[in-house]
Amino acid sequence: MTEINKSRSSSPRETGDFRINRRGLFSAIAGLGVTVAIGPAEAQDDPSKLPPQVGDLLVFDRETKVPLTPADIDPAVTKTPVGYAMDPASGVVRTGNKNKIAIIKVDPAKVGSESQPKMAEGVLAYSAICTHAGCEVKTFKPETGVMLCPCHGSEFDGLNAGTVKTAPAKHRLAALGLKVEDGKLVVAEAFDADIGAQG
Amino acid sequence: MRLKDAGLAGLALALLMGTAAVAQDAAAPAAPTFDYPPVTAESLINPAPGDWPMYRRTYDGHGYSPLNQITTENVANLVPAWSFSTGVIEGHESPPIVANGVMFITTPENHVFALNAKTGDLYWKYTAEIAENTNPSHPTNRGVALLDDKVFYAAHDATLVALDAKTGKEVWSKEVAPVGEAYYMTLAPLVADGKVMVGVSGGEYGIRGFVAAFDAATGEEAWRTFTVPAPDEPGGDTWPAGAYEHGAGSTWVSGQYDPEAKLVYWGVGNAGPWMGDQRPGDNLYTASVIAMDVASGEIKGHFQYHPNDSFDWDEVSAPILVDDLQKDGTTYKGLVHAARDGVLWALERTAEGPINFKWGEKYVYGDAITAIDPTTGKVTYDESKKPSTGVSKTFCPSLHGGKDWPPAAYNPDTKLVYIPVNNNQCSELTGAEVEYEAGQPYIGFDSISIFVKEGAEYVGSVQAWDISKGEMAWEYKFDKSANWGPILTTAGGLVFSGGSADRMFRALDAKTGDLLWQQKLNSGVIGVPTSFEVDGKQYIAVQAGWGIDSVFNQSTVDQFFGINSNVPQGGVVWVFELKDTPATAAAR
Repeated sequence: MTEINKSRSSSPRETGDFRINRRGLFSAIAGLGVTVAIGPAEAQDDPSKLPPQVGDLLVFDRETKVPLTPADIDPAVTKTPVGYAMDPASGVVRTGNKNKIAIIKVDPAKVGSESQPKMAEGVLAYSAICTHAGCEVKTFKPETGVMLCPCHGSEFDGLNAGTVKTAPAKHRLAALGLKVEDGKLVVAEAFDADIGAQG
Repeated sequence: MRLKDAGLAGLALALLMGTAAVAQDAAAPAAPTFDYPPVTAESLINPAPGDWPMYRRTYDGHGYSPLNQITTENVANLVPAWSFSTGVIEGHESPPIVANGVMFITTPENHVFALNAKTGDLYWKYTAEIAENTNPSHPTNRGVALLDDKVFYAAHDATLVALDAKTGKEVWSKEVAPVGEAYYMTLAPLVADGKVMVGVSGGEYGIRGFVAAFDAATGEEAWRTFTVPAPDEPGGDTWPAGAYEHGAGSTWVSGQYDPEAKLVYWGVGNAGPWMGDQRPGDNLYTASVIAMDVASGEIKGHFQYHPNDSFDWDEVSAPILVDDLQKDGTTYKGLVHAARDGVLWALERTAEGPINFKWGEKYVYGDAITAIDPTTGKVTYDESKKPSTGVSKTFCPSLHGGKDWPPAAYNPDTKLVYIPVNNNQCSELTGAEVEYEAGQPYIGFDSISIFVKEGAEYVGSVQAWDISKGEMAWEYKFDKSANWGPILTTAGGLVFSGGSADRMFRALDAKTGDLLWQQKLNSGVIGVPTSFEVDGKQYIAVQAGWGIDSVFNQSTVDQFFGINSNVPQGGVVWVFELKDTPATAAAR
């Protein structure tokens, strides 16, 4: 089983402050069906567990695997369009919660300077997983390009690098760089920040 | 040699020797020592009047202090005695636990503090180092438990820790549940029968909930009882095949204990995933109270407040044990629970374990539950209000319910139960399919909201109920605020609580609900208030520090009333005493 490191990196000592060290992977209790989170070594064996790679296409449907074009993204939706990256050579779709991609279409004139290089024909892509507690940012506000997480109300600015507009999230949504090749949306740059719940 | 030079020389010597530890010892003052007589098992069953040794002070969950120095007559003279900054921003929910003049508090970010309860001086501070991939949800803690010379603490990454009460050093630690499956812990442990019991959080992440007990001296696991039974266990047939593995049934608030019957009562949370139509059946023991034998953990009785939960109505608050309740001319030993589902439940507890319905009365506006069977207590739903997959439904009370985690209290003098209430809130919820993935949310919805119902005059209040009469005695309504304030009641005839966005900490007359005293604190008060005595003087203690669910809920109240609460955050322990009168000052 993969060992998960449970010690935090050191932080300042305080007077009378005592720390405990956790060692080893929890496995002592039988019958729980412990599923170990997959570490990097195992992900390499399973391309569906890799994050979106440069050159990947984007799909909405993991079964039909139809590659997306900018025209497939509806700018007027109020539910955030969520898709996945797909290896064009093998057809393997990168799945799992952390691989969910919010694909939104906005007015290019409104997009901030940090997000302009990531945009392809008005389409931007972000991790769809709220950085607060891991729910999907299910709601989209077309007028402002904001993605809202319904679990606790966190809001992220899709026009400006997915930065946090409303707490309790503290960390921005990671962004993918996109380009258009042969009319299809293609990943040009991998995710540029941490994915998923970070408190 | 001057003192300054001696110090520098000492440091230089230590650095040359390459032993930072020496420099540390030379520079740091010795931690203050204090007497700490071991907390006995008997004293947990019958605490000294001046102590508050567990979450609700006593095993029956009353949250009642027998101290009566502070009364309805003199509470207007209450003033701050001391305060202490925890240095932490997020929501502070834990009670100041006090034994023999030593106060223990916990805060977000996995800290435990030991303070001199009379002076507020720090004895020691402990910080748990938690796993990197710990579920960051609900980053708070609800307090410690005591036995012998140890302090028991549930760290956020589902590790149970036993600390030496005098030094804060770890004596033992036990990993209770796998972090990789998004289990976490926020509750105060319960200590009884030589065991430390804890429940788990993670009901939105496809866990299989349980209560576990560990030997207090060694940390060895004594028993583990799952709240979602396997197919071959009692209640297992209330789930479709395979659903139990991720059926949730979290257990994230401390249980209560009946030492005579040796039964532990624990509240059980929502079912997973959220949509009941994806797991047809009653789904025991979600949204229930269970009675467990303290020695073995065996479930001896249960009562399910509402079956096939589809509302995220966690019924994790364990019911309050109240004896001498009356119904139809007979007396019974009761369990009283102000539920998320908006019903105030009175149940009968038996020595063998089974729990019987006595009555249920709505204490907040609710439209999803339309009837309660007068014999069995089984509820009937309005199906048009019960969330389901692929459909948007609206229902009241909201997801947060009529009362969430903040504990209610019972005063044996007034015979009233005091409830922190949120009324007139509803939710919209659109269910969706969801796939299980370890460590990731397993909820299943496309949209969700909490809102205040049209025409509402108020949301937050404190309600006082006479359980034997089945009637509300009084209600103290908050102005444009939700109520996230746990309740303390005392023999002085008082009810203490905060919970409002205006940062007030209040004393109400326990009989009438009249406001007798209030103090605006640094932040909103969502901590559990306690009362203790040192050197013959009674104190009231509470942590102020707004955060966690109160923030989101208050935003819905703000929106409705068109205001902007902007409650400042920051944890402070507040301790109040009676201001000296000329007579008492002269006597000192």
